[in-house]
Amino acid sequence: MSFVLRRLASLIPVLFGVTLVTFSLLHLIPGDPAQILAGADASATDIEALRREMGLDLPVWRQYLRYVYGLCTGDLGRSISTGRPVADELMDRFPNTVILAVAGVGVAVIAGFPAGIVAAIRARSVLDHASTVIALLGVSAPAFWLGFVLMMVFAVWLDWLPSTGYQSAAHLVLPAITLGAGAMAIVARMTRSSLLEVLRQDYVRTARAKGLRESWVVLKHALRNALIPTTTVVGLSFGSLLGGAVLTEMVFAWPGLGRLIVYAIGVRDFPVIQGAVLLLAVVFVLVNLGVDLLYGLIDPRVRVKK
Amino acid sequence: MLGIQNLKSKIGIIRSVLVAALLCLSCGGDGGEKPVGNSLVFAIHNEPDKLDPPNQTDNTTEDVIRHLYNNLVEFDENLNHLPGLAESWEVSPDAKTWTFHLRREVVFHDGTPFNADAVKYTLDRMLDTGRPTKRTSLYEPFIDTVRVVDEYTIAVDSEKPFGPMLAHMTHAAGAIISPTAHRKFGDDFGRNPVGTGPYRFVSWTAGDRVVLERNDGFWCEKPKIDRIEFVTVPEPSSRMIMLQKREANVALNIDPNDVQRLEDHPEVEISNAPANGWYYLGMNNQRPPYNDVRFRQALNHAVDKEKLVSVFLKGYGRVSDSLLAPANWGYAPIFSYGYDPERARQLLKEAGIPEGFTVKLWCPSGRYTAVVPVCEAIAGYLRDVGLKVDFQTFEWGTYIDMISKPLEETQAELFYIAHAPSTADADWGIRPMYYSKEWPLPGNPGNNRYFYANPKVDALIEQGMVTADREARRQVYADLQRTLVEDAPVLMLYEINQIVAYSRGLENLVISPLALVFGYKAHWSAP
Repeated sequence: MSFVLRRLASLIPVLFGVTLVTFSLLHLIPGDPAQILAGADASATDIEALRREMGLDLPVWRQYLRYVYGLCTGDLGRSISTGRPVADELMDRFPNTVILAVAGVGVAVIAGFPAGIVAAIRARSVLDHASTVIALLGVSAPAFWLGFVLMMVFAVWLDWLPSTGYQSAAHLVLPAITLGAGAMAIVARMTRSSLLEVLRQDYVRTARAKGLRESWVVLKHALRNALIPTTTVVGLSFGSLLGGAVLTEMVFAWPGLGRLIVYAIGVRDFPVIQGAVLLLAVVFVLVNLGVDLLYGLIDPRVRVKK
Repeated sequence: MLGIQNLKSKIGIIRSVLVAALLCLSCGGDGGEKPVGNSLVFAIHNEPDKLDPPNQTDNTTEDVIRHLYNNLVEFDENLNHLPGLAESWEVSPDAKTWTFHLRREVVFHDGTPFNADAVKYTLDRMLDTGRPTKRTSLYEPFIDTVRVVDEYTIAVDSEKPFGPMLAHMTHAAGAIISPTAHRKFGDDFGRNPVGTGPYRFVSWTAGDRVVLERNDGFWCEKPKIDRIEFVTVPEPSSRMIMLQKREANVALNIDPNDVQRLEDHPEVEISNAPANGWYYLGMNNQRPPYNDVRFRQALNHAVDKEKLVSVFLKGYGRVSDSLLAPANWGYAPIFSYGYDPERARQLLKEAGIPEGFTVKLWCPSGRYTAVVPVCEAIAGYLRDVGLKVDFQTFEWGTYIDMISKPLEETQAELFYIAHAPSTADADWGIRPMYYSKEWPLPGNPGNNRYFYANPKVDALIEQGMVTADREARRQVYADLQRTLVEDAPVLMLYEINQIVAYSRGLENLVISPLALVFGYKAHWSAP
């Protein structure tokens, strides 16, 4: 329990660092939000008015203090482009991103895990090589290529699935595969190598010597110990899928957080960028904490001593 | 002299009112037809930001806004003015007071009656410099007061005559809003828009779509499509696939390179028409040798614009012969600098430019059709006439910042840029760009990023602003364009056609040269 509390407390300096870094980066890159938002043919007075309205006429350190003060009072500010509270903007998009990331991780686990197990127990067989090749393809295929190939095949030629959008479960299939492909490959490779390692250990030989069925040996005795590295990989990829779904969201017009961030960067919507980065940082830390807690469940030796 | 001008302007007004009355008759022509119960999906590349007319600055937002609202004066498909919420108008003999006679029995979507108070409320918002809108500068500098004459008459007073008044009234920012709804929603009005337009707002799903439905009480020709959805699809290829699958019915901003693929598709029709924007290389006219007209003309002669249009725009464009596209009111064909490398070399020599002189060429990494390959080709043409080219591309946000710096700070020399005057009027096409009072200054941005200053041009710009008679104005702008083209303050390139793809069977889609597409007259052909 105190472990969880300590980890949660460590969030505070992390978040402080995140605000400081994003804030400085945003003010270092050239680009004036007022100029971009006012449009190409806006007049000087329009741009000045916008700048005042957005508080961009203040010195940078005062803008930062204002922002941190807002954060402490639970106020993320208002989006420069839409004028809505940043919290609303984020919460409109975040659930969609979570759905997509969960589905992506689902694809990765459902496909990657069995593939890794098969590859391990049939090491150096045709099956193993095939899974290696697929894993390599999965890792290296960029989302905008894989996404469009899937869309052409399943939405245009076969006409089984809709091309873009997010209204139904059918809309989720192609983006989930596109997003999960990379993680799937990593899960498969990680499962294979850690399972292979465990299978060489003495207690596995003992289990086999007891006359247990091979499937029982693998699934019951070996797999649990092989799970720890895989869990780490799944946890980490969940974290990065939450923040790194931009390309998939673009290709499939999925209204998630990634697209919001890219658009916000394009128009220099500082409050939205800061809010989103902050949200992703919190989520990333929490997902990692969850993974650490899962270790304890999988392997009692990992539990922190009281 | 002044008297003659007044008389002229009076005649002009009578004529414009007559034309207006004639055009209005066409409205409501086939309103009795049975509406076809159907919907329309627009695939747009950017989500709208606020559906609040004077706080809108991009095309996709304007497209939605023009379905929801009406202006006092509206555009037809060819950007002619026609009566909107004002049935007719006239200007006083001194051209300082414009009087608009409003249409009766019009109601806003929320039931608020449309009248002079609503117009005053809308325009007064624009005049309030304490809480300026993003488009306050279109109205505030030219309008003194807005007076309610009676319930259906409104008068707009200016200190000086303002020629482009009607054009400014047609701007999307001039759309009349429901005062009741604006008072109720305040800053959230942009998410709860209420106008008098052919469609009313239904819902908005962030990041996904804006849904509108037909306004059955619309005062003009009743729309036939029940429901219009504007779906945000950032990827051009995804938009094309949606069209092919009929998941979307209309897609804007099709890249010329994709036209072939769509043209062959049985479900898709292509429309291709001139738009009102034009594309060019700006240059710093104060920085030697750019301050020498011979150097600027040499650059203009060095580039083969015909080739750029045929190769990179696949012919979907036109070499510019003025600093204004033909779709704008006031355009006059002047001439284009023909591709003549010999002449360019000779002019460079006359200007004393040594062989291997380095010019800096900047371009944004996206945003405009084929912008990077076009700039690479231009760099090649400039090298062909003996210049060295330092070529760089930048992400848009960085780019606009770097080309908008004041003269003391700017590093820009030659830079790709475009201008589409949103009032479709020569004043807005030229004044912000070439008027010497529009230079970007420290702490005070401006659009004359070329630091161009020419007393003759300034005088003509001012004359155009205070001339109310349309024919007299037209002559002023023709002179102005000739002066400018001859002085070559920019490297003139081309206009790009607006290519729109839509579902087969969809008829009467209105495609405006303002790079907008409207569905309020559209209908599906009988199967």
